[in-house]
Amino acid sequence: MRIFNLFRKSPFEPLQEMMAKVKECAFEVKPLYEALLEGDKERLRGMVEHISHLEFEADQIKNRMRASLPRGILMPVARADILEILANEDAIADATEDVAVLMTLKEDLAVTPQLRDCLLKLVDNVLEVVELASKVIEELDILVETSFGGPEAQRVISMIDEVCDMEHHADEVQREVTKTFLSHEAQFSPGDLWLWLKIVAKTGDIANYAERMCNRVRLFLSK
Amino acid sequence: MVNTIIMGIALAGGLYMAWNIGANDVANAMGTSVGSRAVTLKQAIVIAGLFEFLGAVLVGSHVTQTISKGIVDPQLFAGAQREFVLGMLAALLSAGIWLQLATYLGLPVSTTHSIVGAVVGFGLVSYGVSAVEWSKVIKIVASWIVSPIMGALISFILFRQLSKRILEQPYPVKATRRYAPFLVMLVFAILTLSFTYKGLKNLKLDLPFSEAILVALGVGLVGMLFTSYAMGHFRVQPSARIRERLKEVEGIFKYLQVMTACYMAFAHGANDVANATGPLAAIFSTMRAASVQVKVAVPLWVLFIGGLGIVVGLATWGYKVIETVGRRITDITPSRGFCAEFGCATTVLVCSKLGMPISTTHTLVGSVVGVGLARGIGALNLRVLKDIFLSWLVTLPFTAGLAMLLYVFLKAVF
Repeated sequence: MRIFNLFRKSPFEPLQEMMAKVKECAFEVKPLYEALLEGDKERLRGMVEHISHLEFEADQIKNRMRASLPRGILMPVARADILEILANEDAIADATEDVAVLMTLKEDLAVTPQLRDCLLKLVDNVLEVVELASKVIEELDILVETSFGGPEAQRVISMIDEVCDMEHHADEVQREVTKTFLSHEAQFSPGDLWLWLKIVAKTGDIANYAERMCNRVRLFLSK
Repeated sequence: MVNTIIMGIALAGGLYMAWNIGANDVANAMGTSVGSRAVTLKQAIVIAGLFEFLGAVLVGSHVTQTISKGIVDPQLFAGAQREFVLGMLAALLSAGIWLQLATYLGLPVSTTHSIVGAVVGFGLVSYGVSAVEWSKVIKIVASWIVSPIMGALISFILFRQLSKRILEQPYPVKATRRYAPFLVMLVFAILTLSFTYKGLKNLKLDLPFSEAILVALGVGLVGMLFTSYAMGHFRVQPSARIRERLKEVEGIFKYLQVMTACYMAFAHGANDVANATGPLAAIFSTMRAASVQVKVAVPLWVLFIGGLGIVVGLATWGYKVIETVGRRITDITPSRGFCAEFGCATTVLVCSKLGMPISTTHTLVGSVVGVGLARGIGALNLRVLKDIFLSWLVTLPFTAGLAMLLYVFLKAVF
């Protein structure tokens, strides 16, 4: 019955599975920051390990999916777009792990309460973007059902527009945070300042990748 | 005495071939229905048993005639009935052996291609190149290329329309209620037309075209009214989320796919049973008349034997294959299955009426790809098309060669 090798597993389900894992990973950024800002070394180390593990699990889903998507498979959307979405999902988890690792590079990394508040605000903004972006991915199976058209497609397009708006807002917050750090540069050693700016930039990247991922979904819906 | 032995072998060979079709081939026709869970395994077996049989008996004679008399020129054997009978027997056995081997090797071969190749082989070895009606053979081979494309085209257009008119609507359940009666009418009308127009004379199913189409439209209308009434049971709940609405639509299509499952089984019976009954009809009509008949109606009991063989094949082995195939195909929903089966069954039925022996399985592959091209299916592995193409290239020379050997052997024995 080789004829029924015709049917392959749909790529959309693993794409959603991957997103669930990536979201779980990204949302650990909040407790990670909290552990760092409260100076709880023990908890920080635990969080870094946990994030690293989640990122590894996401990598496994990614590799499994890539191995099952050879050329010559007919899908309702372009293979390149699927792979690009996968790559961006992966980049979200990677950026999260990078943030965690950066936090372990130097002992006694600390800030004033004012900076602390604006850092947590940035994290909240970034996670809002990830949250909505993951909702877009959760709609993929319904988009397949409606063959990427109709009111459902319109709804997803407006969700993606909102993700873009939110990401833009997160960018602004990131700029503010960077400015605030620079205006207090006297408080920091050059090494500390460099590291903090790096952490802030990487945290902003998480939202960037989420936006880029959603814009790839937009290509599914263009007619 | 010798004749009785030959008849016995022929009967056994025909039954063996029909058994093979029931055991392996029917699963291809029923797989998409079981895979989408529109029908359970038990229902699939009942549907297949009943409608394969009906298709074989009511429409199967056209293709049977093509295989028994269209490929080699029967007039060449005017004084040599024995050779003709032995040749058909060799073809039957050759196709059966190849099918068994291909099933064992897991090759996607077609029962139809096997028997056509085998009959051509017998023609070649008996009276040389001139014995084969090449124009007819070329037509048959051309139909093998055209039929999957036809299936793909019908399924593609149907699924595009279905997405536009139903799946992309804000109230898809309401849209389904509106269009389902029309779809039912279409299937009922085509089915009825297939056996009332130029159907079986001995069942008085031989109406002229104008009358046949009136009857078909009448039956279609009855189906339409019934469906309209039944659709009243599916209430639209505007409060439900789109996810639930689409689930309800697929629920309605489950019922519609039960209909196309019957349609598929009917078309498969009409087309594929002939692969067993064709040579059998040739052998028996020749032996009974003691001369090679140019034009003779296919005896009803031969079609019965074919239908029976299929049902037995289904009951003894086929149900296992259906179960396996159904478990493999899970990424197909009833709306997609409906479109694929409609395109395939319509193509197969039309070709059967034209006396074209085509491959149901390959047409179904075409139809599924058609739905895929209309952005209907998650992922399809197109490399299977290469396997199918290769199996075409192998099947014809193999069954032809084997039929030649068997013919020479049988001639030496009898």
